[in-house]
Amino acid sequence: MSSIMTTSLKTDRLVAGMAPVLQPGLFVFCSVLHHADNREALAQAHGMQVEDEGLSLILPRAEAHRLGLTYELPMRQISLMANVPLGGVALTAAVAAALTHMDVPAYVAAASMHIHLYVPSDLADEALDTLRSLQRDARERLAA
Amino acid sequence: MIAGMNPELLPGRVVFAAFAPGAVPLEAAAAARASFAEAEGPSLILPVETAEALGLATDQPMRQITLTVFSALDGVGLTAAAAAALADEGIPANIVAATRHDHVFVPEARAKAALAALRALSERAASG
Repeated sequence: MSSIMTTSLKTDRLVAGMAPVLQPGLFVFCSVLHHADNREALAQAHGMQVEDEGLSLILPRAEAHRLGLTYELPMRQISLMANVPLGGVALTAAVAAALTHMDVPAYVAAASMHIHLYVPSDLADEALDTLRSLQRDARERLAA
Repeated sequence: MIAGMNPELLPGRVVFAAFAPGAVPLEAAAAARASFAEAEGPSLILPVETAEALGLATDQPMRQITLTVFSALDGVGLTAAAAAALADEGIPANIVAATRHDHVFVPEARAKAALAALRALSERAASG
């Protein structure tokens, strides 16, 4: 597997310590109008982002189905368990570039503690392999 | 896609706030610009005014830049390019991809530099 060259030591350190963990469960991205009718969907959401057009929600697929919401691909969540408050943009760049390179689509969600990735469920293992390979390359460069 | 991303700096300042599980005040939930359920507890992006009213830390005020191109799922290339452009300029940033767009949160003091870096990226893509 080819690797994306990350020349900066700082990026290598972030990547080497990123500790990717595949979380259980299937998630979907849904759009809902910002309205009280969506209180239940909001209560079940793992992620929410206000957009001009309405609310973007990340929901467990079973909840989205139960609530009759429209969604597309079922996704798996991979959390990068390293604590990278605000310093993580280089890590985001490296990870997103590696996944792009492997044609694995992904959504990135930075939160207070960690960076989380959502990838199509049928590509979750490939995504995890890609991240582990990126991590291994960074560790080898740091050890050299 | 990168050529058309048209970064837009939104008005207002926000902060990231982490809460213990089940400890999000109603005012915070109602005013949140974004939220995420982390294993350690909920993480919210709040207007500075809301955070101040609740006595939360506001020492890292941030601005939101929305990449107004429609972010289809295959937009991870856009996320990668935007993150790299900011990292190259040494601008810290948190990126949140949503259903329609990518949203970039940067320290208030670096907002103009971030906007310039993202516009330059867009222009390079358009001319390349």
